[in-house]
Amino acid sequence: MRHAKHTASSSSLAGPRVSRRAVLRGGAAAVAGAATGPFVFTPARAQGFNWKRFQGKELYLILSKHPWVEVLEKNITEFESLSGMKIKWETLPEIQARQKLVVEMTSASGGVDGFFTSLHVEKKRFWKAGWYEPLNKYLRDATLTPADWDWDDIAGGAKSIITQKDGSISALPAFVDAVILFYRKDLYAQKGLKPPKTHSEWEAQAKQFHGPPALYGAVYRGLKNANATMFSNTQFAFGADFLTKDGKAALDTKESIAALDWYAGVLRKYGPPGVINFNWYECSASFMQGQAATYFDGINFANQFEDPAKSKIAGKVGYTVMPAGPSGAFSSLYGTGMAVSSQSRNKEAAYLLAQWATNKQNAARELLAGVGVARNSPWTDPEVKAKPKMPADWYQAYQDSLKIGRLGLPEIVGVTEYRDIIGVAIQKAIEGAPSAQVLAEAQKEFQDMLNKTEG
Amino acid sequence: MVSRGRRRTWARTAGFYGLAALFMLPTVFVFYWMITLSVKPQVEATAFPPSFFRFSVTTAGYREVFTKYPFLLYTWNSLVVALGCTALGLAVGLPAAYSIARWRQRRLALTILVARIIPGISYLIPWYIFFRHLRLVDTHAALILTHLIVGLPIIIWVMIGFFEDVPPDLEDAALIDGCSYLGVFWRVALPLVRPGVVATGILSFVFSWNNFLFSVILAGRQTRTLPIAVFNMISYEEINWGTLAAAATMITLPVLVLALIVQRHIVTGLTFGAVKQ
Amino acid sequence: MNGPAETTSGARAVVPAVGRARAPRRLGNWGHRNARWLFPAPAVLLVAAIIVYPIVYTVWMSLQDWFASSLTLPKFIGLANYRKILVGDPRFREAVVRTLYFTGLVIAGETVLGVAMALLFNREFWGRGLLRTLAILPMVATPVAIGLVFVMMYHPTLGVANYLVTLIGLAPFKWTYSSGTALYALAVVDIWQWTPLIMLIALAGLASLPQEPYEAARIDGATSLQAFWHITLPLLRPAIVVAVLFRAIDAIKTFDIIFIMTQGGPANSTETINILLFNQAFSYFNMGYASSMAVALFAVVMGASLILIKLRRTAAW
Repeated sequence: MRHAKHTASSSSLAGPRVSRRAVLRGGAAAVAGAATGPFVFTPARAQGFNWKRFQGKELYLILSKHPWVEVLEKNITEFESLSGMKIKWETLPEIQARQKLVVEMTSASGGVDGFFTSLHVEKKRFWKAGWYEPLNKYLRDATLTPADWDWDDIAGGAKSIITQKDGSISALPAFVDAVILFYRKDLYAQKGLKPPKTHSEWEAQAKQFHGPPALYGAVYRGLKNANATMFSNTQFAFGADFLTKDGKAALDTKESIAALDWYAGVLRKYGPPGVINFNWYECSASFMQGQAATYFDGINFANQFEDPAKSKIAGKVGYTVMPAGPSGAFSSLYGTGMAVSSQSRNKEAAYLLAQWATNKQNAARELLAGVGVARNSPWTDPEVKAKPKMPADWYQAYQDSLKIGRLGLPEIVGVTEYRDIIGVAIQKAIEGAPSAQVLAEAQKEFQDMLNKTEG
Repeated sequence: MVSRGRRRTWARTAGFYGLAALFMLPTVFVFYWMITLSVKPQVEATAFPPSFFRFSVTTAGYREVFTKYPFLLYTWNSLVVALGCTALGLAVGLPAAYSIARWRQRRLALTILVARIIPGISYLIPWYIFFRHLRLVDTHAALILTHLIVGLPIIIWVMIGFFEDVPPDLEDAALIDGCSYLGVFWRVALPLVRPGVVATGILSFVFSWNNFLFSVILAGRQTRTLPIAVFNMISYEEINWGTLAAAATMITLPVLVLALIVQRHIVTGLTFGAVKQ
Repeated sequence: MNGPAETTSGARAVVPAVGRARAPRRLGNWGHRNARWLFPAPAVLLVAAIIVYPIVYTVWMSLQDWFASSLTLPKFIGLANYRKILVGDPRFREAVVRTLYFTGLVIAGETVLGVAMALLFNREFWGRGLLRTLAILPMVATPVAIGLVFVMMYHPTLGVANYLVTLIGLAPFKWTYSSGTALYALAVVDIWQWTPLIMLIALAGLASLPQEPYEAARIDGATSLQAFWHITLPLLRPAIVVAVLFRAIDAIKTFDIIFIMTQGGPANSTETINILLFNQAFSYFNMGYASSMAVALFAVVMGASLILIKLRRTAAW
């Protein structure tokens, strides 16, 4: 596809308009054997489909805190009246939600029917643990999936994100988050600057804007683990990757070192004090306070920038694709979905909810609220076009980024361990340790972990 | 002579109070800061340099805590669990402490302490499986039982010391009079150790109220207690300091007030019986 | 309550009688003979019901290799997890050292400050009651709330801590925002919370000191410093040692404050055994390995506790 270089772990992803056939070809590495998946299903007429089929049942969901989930929560009562089911759910911060899920699954309680899953972290691990109910047969079943749910409307990238290497589909796609650059267009206009096209241009601008304590040149994640998702973007731009083609750790390459030099260096020189502990919410808070000239993160976190009640910079933010590095411009992609628990006693009912939550109508609502989606149709939805919540360049940046998207984390079992390992290296580098040294340590730890978990 | 001596006394007194203030200032300041942050509007809460005495007062943080979150439910849950844990802890802990003190059952005392020594995290998954089978997850009962692990050892260990101090003569007299051990415990010993009962009861309440770890896993949506609710708010509220400080104040204030009312007794419990009032 | 109640036929109650229940005499006799088992029975049964299963489960799991999978069962690997703990895991070793360092740090801080304060306040003065009132507040305050307040105070640009520091002429610190200072910043919180405990215990110890040794020392012409060093400290020691050990047990297990304020970071600079254990279990799903860590942590704390028990017996307070 677009990028010559891609490995099994970080395949490049198709844009949202790619056809079904293209997905089969392009995502072949990641979606090996997917042909037996629902790609062959032909949408039947909604014969026998009945929303009220599981009337009277009660479902329990574990959700994690995210703008996408917030929009969903507002509409759950609608599903309850549509289906006659009772939905109970709990929304927890992502880490706590995962922890709760682990305990539920480990105890084989069967108490959880469905959950919101961050596939970029959990995909392989949960699949290996057998916690995802494979959804292929449900998707083929016209009594459970109405025709207008429309598999072909799912963006290509999202399809490969939800599909395991054995072809089983682990979740229905909720959204695809792409990393983009946010910049203060008012400040850029004052200085007569244009948003950066390259990393070196970006660094030079950060230096130009940098005037503490009123304004810092750049802000992005420094916090261990959280920083890994943003650093991958810099890695790609500098030509680095997580793994070699044969699945070995590749953190100590000279490309990696150059990437870390940039990532940690700019943060150290032009970032606000304490940025080493910043997760996305501290970063966005600092950006919304008007303390930073540039900021890059997942596009979905931007929906609050334009909310004048929370943000001092509403209407002053520009959105654009990530600047290029020596190896080109990329956007790290992250995908989430609604999964059905393999231990649930009401799998079909839980599936009914998952497919409702990810259908066209709900996707359009998400986009209206300024949250990204995993479908193509909402972009042309008349309502979305009529009253966009986000500025036009947000929509443009999103679509452009999907085209240059790459999975932002390795598809391995130990994603959290990887994030911690590289996260610690990044933090040490921000504090001034040489990149080569911290990456050599990380390389060893990462390879040890791979030996243990990927066998 | 006299005046110089008096001046020296004055200086010493002033020095003493100065030093005392210096030592106690950090204690006071943290609470002062928490409470003032909770009533400051967001702009002033994150203002730098911060304002210590002159600031505008708003109840926005508190309003947000109560309107955005079911904070009353969380408070109710915390209250039910802490009271239940204390009542149950006293009901089984007092006779046990009495027995250990009277019959010198050291081994038993040690065994009870083991419950407190085991790292709390290792309880989480087994407990979850256990309470799942009993269909007690997301119930107050499960939380009460687990919080007992924190409260009961304190009740027993502090009360041992109190029961040891009950004069044996009194008990023997009652026994000779035909009183049963239960009668001796109930009518002789217990009234004499009432201060200890108050102290340990309060302590057990406070530790249950403050417990964070156990409720993370075992509490559900309906039984979530305050510490978990407040912890979850941290990532919801970004750096909405006013709201966070309001939540922190709401959760701390009840125990502070309780501690102030019964301060005389609580010292005994906190010092594990090392300091008796 | 437990055990059958019994009549006290016409007995002259020593203390005002409360609720005399009537019960069959024979059952009463049996209860009377076995009172020493019946009294603690409910507590023992209750504690056993809650902790026996977790203990068995943890010990069993510590001998397994298991990633919380529903598809593959735990695999028995004998003592391999323990071998890894002892020799194969630098991160665990660092966590142990860090835990002990943190414990030592807070215990030293709390003891020195607490004893100093006790010596200062060991006199009659106006406001003594107020002092005790203030002293107990940090100890009963909810750790989650306290952690939260310190997070806000430690904020490097907006926090009041740096404002106060610059006020007295120092350069601002990074507190929990630097791997060099984070552990100390956490220790400050612990010291803030628990110094008053040592102070209260030391105060009580001072109040019960006999006067004779001091009089003898004065006659011998000892300075007050000498008297403090050779009389006060040795006499105070039993009370302090026990207090210190109780604190040590809790400090080794510190979780709430670290979890709320740093979650082990920046880098791994505040990752104690407890935090690492939590990560191993709930982030990495290494259930077997995490269990073996729990057993190891238990051994450390148990060791400290046994010393405590021994000291309590000899210290006689």
